[in-house]
Amino acid sequence: MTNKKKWIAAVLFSAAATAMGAWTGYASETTVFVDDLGREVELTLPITRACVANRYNNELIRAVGAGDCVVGVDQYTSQDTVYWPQFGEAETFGKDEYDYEKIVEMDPQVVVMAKNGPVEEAETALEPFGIKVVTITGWDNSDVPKQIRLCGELFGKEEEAEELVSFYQEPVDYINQQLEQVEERKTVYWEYGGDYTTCIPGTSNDGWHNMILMGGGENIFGDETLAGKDIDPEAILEADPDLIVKIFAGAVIGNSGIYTAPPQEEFAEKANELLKRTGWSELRAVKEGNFYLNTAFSTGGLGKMIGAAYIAKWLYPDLMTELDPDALFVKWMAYQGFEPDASAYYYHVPVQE
Amino acid sequence: MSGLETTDLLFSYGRGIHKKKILDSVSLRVERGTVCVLLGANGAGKSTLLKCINGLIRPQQGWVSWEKENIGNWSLNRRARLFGYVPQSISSVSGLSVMETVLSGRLPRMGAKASAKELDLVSEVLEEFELEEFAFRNLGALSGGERQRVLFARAIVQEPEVLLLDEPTSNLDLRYQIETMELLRRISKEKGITVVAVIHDLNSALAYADQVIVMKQGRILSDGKPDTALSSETIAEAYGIQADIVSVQDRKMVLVKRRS
Amino acid sequence: MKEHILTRKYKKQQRKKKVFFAVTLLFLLLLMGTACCLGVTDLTPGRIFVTLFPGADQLISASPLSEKEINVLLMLRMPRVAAGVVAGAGLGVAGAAMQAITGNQMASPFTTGLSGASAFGAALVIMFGTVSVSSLKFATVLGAFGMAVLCAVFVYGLASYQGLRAETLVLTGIALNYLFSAMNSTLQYVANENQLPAIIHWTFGSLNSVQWGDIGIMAGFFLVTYPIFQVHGWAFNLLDSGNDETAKSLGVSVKRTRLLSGLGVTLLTASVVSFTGIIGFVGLVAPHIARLLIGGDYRYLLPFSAVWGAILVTGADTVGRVAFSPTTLPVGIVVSYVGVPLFLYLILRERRRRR
Repeated sequence: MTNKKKWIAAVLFSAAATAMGAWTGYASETTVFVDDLGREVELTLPITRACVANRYNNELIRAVGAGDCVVGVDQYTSQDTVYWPQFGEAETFGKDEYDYEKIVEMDPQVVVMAKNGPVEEAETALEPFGIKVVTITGWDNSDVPKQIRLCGELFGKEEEAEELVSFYQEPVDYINQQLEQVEERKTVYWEYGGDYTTCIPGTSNDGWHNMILMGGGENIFGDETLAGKDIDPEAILEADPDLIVKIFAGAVIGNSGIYTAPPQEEFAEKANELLKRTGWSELRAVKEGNFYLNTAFSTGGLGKMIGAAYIAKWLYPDLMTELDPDALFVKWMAYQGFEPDASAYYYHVPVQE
Repeated sequence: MSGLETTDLLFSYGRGIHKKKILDSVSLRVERGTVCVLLGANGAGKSTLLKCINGLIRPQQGWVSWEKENIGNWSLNRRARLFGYVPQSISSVSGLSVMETVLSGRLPRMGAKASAKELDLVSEVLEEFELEEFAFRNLGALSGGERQRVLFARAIVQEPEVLLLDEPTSNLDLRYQIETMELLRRISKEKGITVVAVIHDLNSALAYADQVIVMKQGRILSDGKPDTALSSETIAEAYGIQADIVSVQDRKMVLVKRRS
Repeated sequence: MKEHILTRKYKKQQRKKKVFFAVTLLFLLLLMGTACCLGVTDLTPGRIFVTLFPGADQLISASPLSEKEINVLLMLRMPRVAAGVVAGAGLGVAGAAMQAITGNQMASPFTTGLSGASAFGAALVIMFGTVSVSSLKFATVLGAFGMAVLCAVFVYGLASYQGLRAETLVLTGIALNYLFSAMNSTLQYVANENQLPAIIHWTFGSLNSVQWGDIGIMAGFFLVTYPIFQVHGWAFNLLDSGNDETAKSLGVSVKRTRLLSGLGVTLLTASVVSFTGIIGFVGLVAPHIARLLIGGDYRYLLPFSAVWGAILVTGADTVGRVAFSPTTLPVGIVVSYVGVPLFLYLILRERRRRR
């Protein structure tokens, strides 16, 4: 080769080498993150700044120790000022509609939202600013370990995530194990905040129905065909369930439960109201002391595992000897950085004479 | 002997036992450039006849012709150039001013925009009908009589060859009644416009009409010059009223017999 | 020949209307500019000027926009303002046309049931559409549009059995509105937690998810349908009184006018509503505001309704964006709050002026 050609070759070669090196160097910095909807998003992990919508998401993220990485939340999260003292108006980017300008101001790397959020809209609006959108669905209790692991992967807290998964899985496995000894499952009537609103599979209250199943109970209204119809109060009397659980939250903000539990007197008042219902004083669950009131907040956390534990304990106290729902709740709250008294969150209706 | 002609017009509405015949085989002829007055009791079918003539209503049988040409298939626009129609009254009013309402009469002939000449025509007609002071007021602010003059003005502005008027004088005071009839007579003579008007005043008919047609229950009772077509018998049969035709100062007049 | 005095006055009046229109248009432009400047970060006109002409920071003490701020302006704010203008103009004009062809001043673009129908179409897609997340929006738009058109075909088809009379249109529309209302309520009742917020949110009307591409489509429909209305200006004037006979006797084909205009209204309204959801009230009240200011001549009323529709929606959206930060109120909600006081004020002023 002539000198000139050698020189050109050398330049080309080093250029190629540099390019390749840069490319591989670049490639090693981003990962393909697969979110809850199966979308593949290229991200530089771990994330250090995120805007997170949905309070269940924020709970999981805080539980794996990445709470400091959250720079902005939605109003459904920040409205519970006791539970989320660090998020005020300045850190809120919207409720059902997101103010994208505000998100841009907050300068996150990603926006995390549940799978039913405005994914496409946010993606398109934030693309010019290089902010990515991923979905994690904290309220979806069909596969809680998956959601936890997604949080772990996103924020580089894989170890903490695994720990949380075992915390979740242990009682679930224990309940299932003990349930093998049950031939016929006991029945449960579960009532939400409104009168005679219960959870029917296939509707928006599906999660609660699954919670009852997880706890080893049989939902007396566990029939999909009931969706959309009012339930017949007489059906409750006819079914004469083994356990009655009523969700009572005292004060709520915008239809979602808050951290602060209502005082026990209010629980008692509500219980008396329900006892006055026609035929309720004759119900087996009432006469045998299997009537409880508790809050959506305490039972809804961590994929409603806590709620399932309470139901399992109340249904089969003899089988679930090693299960301590109060302790589980306290530990879950510890993950969130709080130390409440578990007994304040439910009310055991005393046996009626 | 050309002009406006209808042949065996039949119009009924309703179905089965409720079927009502409004026009029963009505045939007439009005010579071009003459004034023809339609008389008859309420419900005799006069308004319906007018509407059949200008095409607002489609008769089930029969046809209408102008200058020996069947106008049954004419386009709406062509009809609007031929016929100027003044309805009894309009109850609801639009947001247009009086001037704009009259200007809308130019629609069948107007291009995209009204030319200065057309605007002048409208202005002159408004002046002739003594409507200038209302020119920019909304139609709703006018009295019934004033509104009627506006509708008449609009028909004139259309420059039609046939004017069909349904009770054009019913809301007008005596002076405007006379003026209207005088105007009709004048434009038929001077401009050759054929006029067919429904009138209630029998004496107006005698004084101003070239031709009188008396209707009863959808049929023509009599048709001819005012002297011959309007007789005591005809009046009695059409209106159920006893009256004499008398001669006063060289003119025929209808004298209604008092009952008490 | 000298012009008649009335002719002169008339021409003067028409000129005044044109001037008034131009002034209002200017106001709209000013409103648009202001809306672009307002938001989480205030971008003052001074700063925009300095960004466009880098040397000007000698004259004005304003810092130019950062690249992020430029992106905010171009990709978040301007599309929103443009969407408000196009949607508002479309609804305003459609409302005016609807009031003309039904001869009813209480009519709106939704009189024939379009709002309920499009909400239903969107809800169906949200609930039963098995499409990937990325094409969900496209499918929803298509569903809403399709359902609206179907509804209109039914209403106009039925009305044409009765000679396309105005009352038949209105009554059939009322019936269908109730029907779709019931069907929508049913869907909401059985929707699950995922779908319900999306369905309900769609009914509020919002500019949050409108992109430049959508604006292009809406503008396209507007440009195609607007001439249809303007050409029928005089016909509308005659139909507006509710008297078909007058129009027919002046050579206007009432049926054809209603059918063509109805088609225009349906396409225009459906194109707007499919992207923005239901923004109510604008279609009803923009023509009224226009009428109180510029009179009942549809040749002027049509464009004026468009401008006022644009003003209402853009104004309402800006208020909803800025006044309640960080929550953004959907424009469909705010527009009534903004529009009603304005409307009442104009009504009162009109009362006082009446002789």
